Amino acid sequence: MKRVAFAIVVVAVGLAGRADAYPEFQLSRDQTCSSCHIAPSGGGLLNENGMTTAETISHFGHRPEFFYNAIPTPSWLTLGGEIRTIYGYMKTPQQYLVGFPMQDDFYASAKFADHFHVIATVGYRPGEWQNEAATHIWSREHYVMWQQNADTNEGLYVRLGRFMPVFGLRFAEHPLYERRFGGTALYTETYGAAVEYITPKYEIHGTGFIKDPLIDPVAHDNGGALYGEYRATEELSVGAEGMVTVSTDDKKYRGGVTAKYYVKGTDLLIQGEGQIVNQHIGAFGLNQLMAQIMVTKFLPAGLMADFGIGHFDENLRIKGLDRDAIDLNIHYFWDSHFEITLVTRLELINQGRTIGTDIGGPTGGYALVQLHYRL
Amino acid sequence: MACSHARPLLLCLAFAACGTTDDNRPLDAQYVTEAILQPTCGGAVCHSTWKQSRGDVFDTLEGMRRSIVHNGLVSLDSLQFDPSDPASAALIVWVTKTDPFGLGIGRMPNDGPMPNQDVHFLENWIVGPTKIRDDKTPCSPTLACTQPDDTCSYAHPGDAVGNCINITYTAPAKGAQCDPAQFHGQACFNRTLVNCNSDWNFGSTVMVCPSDCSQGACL
Repeated sequence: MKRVAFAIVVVAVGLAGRADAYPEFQLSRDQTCSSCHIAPSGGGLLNENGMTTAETISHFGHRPEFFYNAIPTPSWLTLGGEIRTIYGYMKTPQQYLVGFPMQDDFYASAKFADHFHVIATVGYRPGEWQNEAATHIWSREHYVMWQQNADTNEGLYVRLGRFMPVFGLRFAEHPLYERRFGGTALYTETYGAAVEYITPKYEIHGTGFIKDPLIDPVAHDNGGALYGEYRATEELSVGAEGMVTVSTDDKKYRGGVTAKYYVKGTDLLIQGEGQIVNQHIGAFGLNQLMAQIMVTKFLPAGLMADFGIGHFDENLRIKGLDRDAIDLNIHYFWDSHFEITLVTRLELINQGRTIGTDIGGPTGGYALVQLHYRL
Repeated sequence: MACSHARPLLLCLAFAACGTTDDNRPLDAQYVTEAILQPTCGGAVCHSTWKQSRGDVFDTLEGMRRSIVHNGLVSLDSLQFDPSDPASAALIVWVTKTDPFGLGIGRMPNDGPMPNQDVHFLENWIVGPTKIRDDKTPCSPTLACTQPDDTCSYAHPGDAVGNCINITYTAPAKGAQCDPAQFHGQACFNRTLVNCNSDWNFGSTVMVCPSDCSQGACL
């Protein structure tokens, strides 16, 4: 009989971390990320329209402002934050019961001289090995932003500071291959400059970035990223992306496309991204493939269901190095601030074919419940 | 069913398994780090330079070497990595069975399994000492000695994972180069069978010279 290890642990595992915006709401609820977020690329603090959306999509509503507006802030100051924890079952293929904090971040944005913002995120992070006490609190993002149009969420933006390069669909769930293998892995924010232009019809984001010179970083690259989206209709957008990263040990050239289609009649959003990665390690070159499809159905009573398929091939020349992830996530937006999400995944290597061959690998998966509170 | 890498991209996008069975990947530390360990094990809250879980770093070549040597992920016997039984190396046990050090951590990676092809590749890397040491790390150039009995230093990618090591060398003649192959057989810098007559000390790692080292145990 196969021996199955079953451990009950409370550890920080690779799934830990933070989450960003919900690209599911673009096209389905508004045309651009900046319609709902202060940052032109989405994520982090919501603007007024974003708060209204948070209230209307949730089951019970409630005031969407910071602490239910119990702590009013002046018009130039926006405060917020996010707390996430997650619990459940994982198989990798060893089986675990896990529970750990994902995110404890506090956000602030100060607007001055009409066109400028200073934006910062301060929060908890997993500490560095043998330097935990000094490294648990940090600022993941901090930047100065100039916005051409003070009163709209369109036009030219320029950012300088520490933030995530703008690239791809930018899903909240960082284990999705689109994030993990697609150039925007967890905690890869770094110092850089971005020039971005946004209109309802199209948007383009150019980011140059460097390896973080101040802390031991997660990403070790210098590079640049370009991402553009064109919305042919209010329900359809197509995008293109390119990124070059250079580290001491390798170079990566990424190119890909994205697409989104909102089926208005059924309140269904289909979005996808495909990316080819050309990696150079010394004199050796290889090509990787990353693809992600996500279908989102908006349901009554604050429910939203995501069904996704991700594909990653570590080296297209070698058989058996491809993996697929099937994700089903059910979000319940209880009110404007509180969300419960069931996060599930089945992960297959070589499409799960291991019988009679040594090519392939174990099947993994998880079923987790995430609790999320937005301040 | 395999498909050639030359087949249309759409076929791959339809989530078919691609590739051939010919594994042409280079058995060197840089490839192992950047193509296998970094994406699989070097995630932000795992073995990144930032988090360094258990002190192991797998997202840079330098960090990987340090982790392999200093944290006992591969047993060092002379200059080889568990040459006769790579599957017993702690690194392999950790990604195929369970935590080899009894730390209660369990099998790795703990956010998704590693493909068998990559496990086999790591095993081949472990038993391929020449290729392991055939490293891209630049070392200091050979320094010319000016007269007999001068000492000069020579940096060579000579330890078990290709780290540069500095040795001193007594020149046999004026103008001689610091040729490690002439280093009195005490070390194995030229990757041929030589006698070794003492333990090696690379920083905090001591490689014990086996009893039969006079037969050329140092490869």
